[in-house]
Amino acid sequence: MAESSLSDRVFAPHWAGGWALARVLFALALLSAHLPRAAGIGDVFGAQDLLFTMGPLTLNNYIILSEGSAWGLWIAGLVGLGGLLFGGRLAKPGLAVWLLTTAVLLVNETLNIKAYDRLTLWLCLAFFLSPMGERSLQNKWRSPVARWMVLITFIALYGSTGWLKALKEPTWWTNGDVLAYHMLHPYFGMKPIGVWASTQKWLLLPLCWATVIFEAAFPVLVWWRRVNPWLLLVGALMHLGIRIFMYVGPFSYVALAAYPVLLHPEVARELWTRRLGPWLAARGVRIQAAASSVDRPASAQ
Amino acid sequence: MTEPTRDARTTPRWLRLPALVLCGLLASYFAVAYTFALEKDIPAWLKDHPWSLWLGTWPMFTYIDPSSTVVYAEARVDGEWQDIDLEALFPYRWESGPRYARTSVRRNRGRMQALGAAACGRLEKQEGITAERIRFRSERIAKTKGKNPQPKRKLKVERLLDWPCDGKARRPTGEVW
Repeated sequence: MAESSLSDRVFAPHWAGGWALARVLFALALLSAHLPRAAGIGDVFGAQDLLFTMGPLTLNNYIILSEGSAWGLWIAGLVGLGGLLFGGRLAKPGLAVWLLTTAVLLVNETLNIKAYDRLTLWLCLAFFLSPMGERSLQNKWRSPVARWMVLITFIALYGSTGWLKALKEPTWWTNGDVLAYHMLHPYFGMKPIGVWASTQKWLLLPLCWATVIFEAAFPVLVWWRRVNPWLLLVGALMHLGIRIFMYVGPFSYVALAAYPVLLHPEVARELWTRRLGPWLAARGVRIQAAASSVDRPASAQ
Repeated sequence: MTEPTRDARTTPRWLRLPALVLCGLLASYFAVAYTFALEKDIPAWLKDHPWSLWLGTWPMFTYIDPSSTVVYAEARVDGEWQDIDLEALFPYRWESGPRYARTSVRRNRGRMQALGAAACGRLEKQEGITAERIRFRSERIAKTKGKNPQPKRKLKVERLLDWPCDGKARRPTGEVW
């Protein structure tokens, strides 16, 4: 039937190896966000003297966390991240535990749910639908739905920020002031290299153009297999650049953790079978042989 | 020769339509969030539910921001005003800054009062200082390229709160403490 064959083509399984690396990177990125929160327990998380509500975040109307319960939630979240990092059957329950406990902590604090927290939430949904709980994913092909969700999220993230910059703030095109002033933000900025760069127009203007063009073009170019890896390389450099010039917390890590999934699955598989797999094997890392290109399934089973 | 086993699975047919609907809803949510991200003229439903698109909106670092604001505080002890180190009293900070410096605190009298009461309490508990009053101000300056520390150019000082330490603030629950 033509209809079912179209459906089979749309839902043809993708190489799933990218999810294995993405899971580990995601766990490490979440760890980099989670560990420093311990320093805030008593001061903000579980603090009794500064309780707020904002918009729909009204948990503090009903439950007031003690410092001890905040520690309990933080430790449970850490254990959950351990499960995610370990992988296998512990991966999804671990992520669920981390998500729930951290959500309670963040809503208790109320005021500082950051852009990377919101990005993390969307990525968690994709990871729950992904095959990340399976072992030996380098030899498996799985449903593309979870990858679509990551793609939609990043198209929204980059596309919206890029187009808002392009359409709402002309100084992204005309001079580098917009970037210079962000590098002088009293908290996000003031890195010595950022303070220096704030006077270097020759550097700022190309960085502004590259940022806006990358972000605005991402929703289209990411689908193009030939361009996809180069686009992601530019994205990785952009996140690295942001980290060099500014203090943006774990945002870059959370975003980059999804890159192995954003990479076109066939490009990723070629990279694995021809480069990374043999390179690791030559260094004594025991990995089950990856399927060769002839093993690729033609359609869904 | 036997063909190697291929471990390939995908979404079962009965789940494909729900999967497509889920992706469509996700894309639609983000599209609506983008449409109204920086708009001042928003529809009535969004005015009624201003938080509904927040999870899908990322307008960070979009606009030029040529000024910066820092919050300071002083405590009156034995009739004398003295500067207090807010970062020592409220040490945890995010990359965007400490909690007390957020616009959502500075622009909200109830939150500022809670901050005032907490600052009085922590001064006494952590540093053994019994303050009579505490007052907060914000200093807004024009950023100067290439300078660290930033000179206080075009300084604008705004008084945020003058709080008696025997005053009572409210918890979100309505409880006074």
